[in-house]
Amino acid sequence: MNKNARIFVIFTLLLIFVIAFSLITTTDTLKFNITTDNKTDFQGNNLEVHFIDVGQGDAILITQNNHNMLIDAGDNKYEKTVVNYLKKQSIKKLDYVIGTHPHSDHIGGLDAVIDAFEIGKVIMPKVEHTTKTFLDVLTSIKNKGLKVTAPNVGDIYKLDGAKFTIVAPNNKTYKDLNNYSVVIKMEYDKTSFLFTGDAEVLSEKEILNNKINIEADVLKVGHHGSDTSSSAEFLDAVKPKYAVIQVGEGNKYGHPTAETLNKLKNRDIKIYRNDLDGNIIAVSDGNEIIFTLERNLKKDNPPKESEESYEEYDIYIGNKNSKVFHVDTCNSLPIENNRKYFETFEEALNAGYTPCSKCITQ
Amino acid sequence: MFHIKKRNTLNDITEDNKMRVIIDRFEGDYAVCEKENFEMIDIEIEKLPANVKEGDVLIIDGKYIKIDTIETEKRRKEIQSLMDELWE
Repeated sequence: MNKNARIFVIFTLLLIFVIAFSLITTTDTLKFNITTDNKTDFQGNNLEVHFIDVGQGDAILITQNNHNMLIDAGDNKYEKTVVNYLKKQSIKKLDYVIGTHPHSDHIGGLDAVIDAFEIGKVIMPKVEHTTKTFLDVLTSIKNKGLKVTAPNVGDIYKLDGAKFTIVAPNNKTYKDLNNYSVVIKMEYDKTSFLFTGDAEVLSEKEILNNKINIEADVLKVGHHGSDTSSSAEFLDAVKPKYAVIQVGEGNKYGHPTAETLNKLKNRDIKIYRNDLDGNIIAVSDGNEIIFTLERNLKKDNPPKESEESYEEYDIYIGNKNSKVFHVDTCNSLPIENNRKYFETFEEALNAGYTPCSKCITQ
Repeated sequence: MFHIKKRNTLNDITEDNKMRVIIDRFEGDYAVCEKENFEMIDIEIEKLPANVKEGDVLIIDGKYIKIDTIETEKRRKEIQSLMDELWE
């Protein structure tokens, strides 16, 4: 082999080597990036949905990585309940406030909420009501220099790593205010929630005609479980695993009705209710949803006995956002930044944290 | 002077009671109404004039209940103009 041929062979080998190496590196980088992206979006920063117990009325707080939104705020007399609940979660700003429709059991507490927190976007249907309650909400909005955005079906809003789509109302005029309810579907990676306000069968039909995918893991049952909502066709399209009914104990309107409860039971949907469970917290890690019920935390189980059984753990890990604490083997632990450590069970309780229903109270 | 007991139903409203309420909504057999102090009171729908709607202002005078159409219209207009200012 002459000198030129030798140089050519060496050069070719070198070229092959360089190409091969760069290919491997690219593939590796690509894989690495995908993993990193998934981690930033979904791991640790859980989506939390708090169905706040406001008796006969709706109030839902949703948090995702320090971004927050509120759907409704219960009746006037529960405004302190809602404001204090949000403060306990260390909420300073609500990125979105949705007043589903102008009935007092949904918007009653909104004026106090708007007064007390920094507010991003306010979404409400443009339909008037003559009550002082509604006027108060509008006055608070005006005093804060805010504007109101009307819901537009198909519009998508981001709540950090989560997003929600407006699903209803689909018409400009209805006979009943309930049907003006803003209905949204919230999605966080593989998990989803459908919040329906008081939308009745008429609105449900319009939603079904729309062909927007409304399948969801969790359904906030429409109109406090009244039989004016939750038609069979609607439930079959949503196909929820869990149903949450925001309803007050001993209400005289018959909510939730036996008919609605039976429809849910017949479809093997697990039912949670504020009148029986107190505050209901659903936490999604993007793959699965875990429910924590205030009822379980308050259970009349003798505190001494429980304390003894907890003493085998050396450390308890609290979630600064949800104020729920876990043992270190729990698979829904918060990310490091959101953790607060406690040496004893009592210390965690005294700090206002509640035990996780999955790893501690069962 | 009102003599209204904690359990707010129309049965508690006696002859000497006069008040103005606004229908917030209908739930089953009841109209849920807002009193001037923001308290909510349930009134059986069958005791109301037949053509009542959400948002109507009612004058309750003893067992007589009628729609205050002037006040209802006045409030609607007031709210509508505020809404036109606030909605984008």
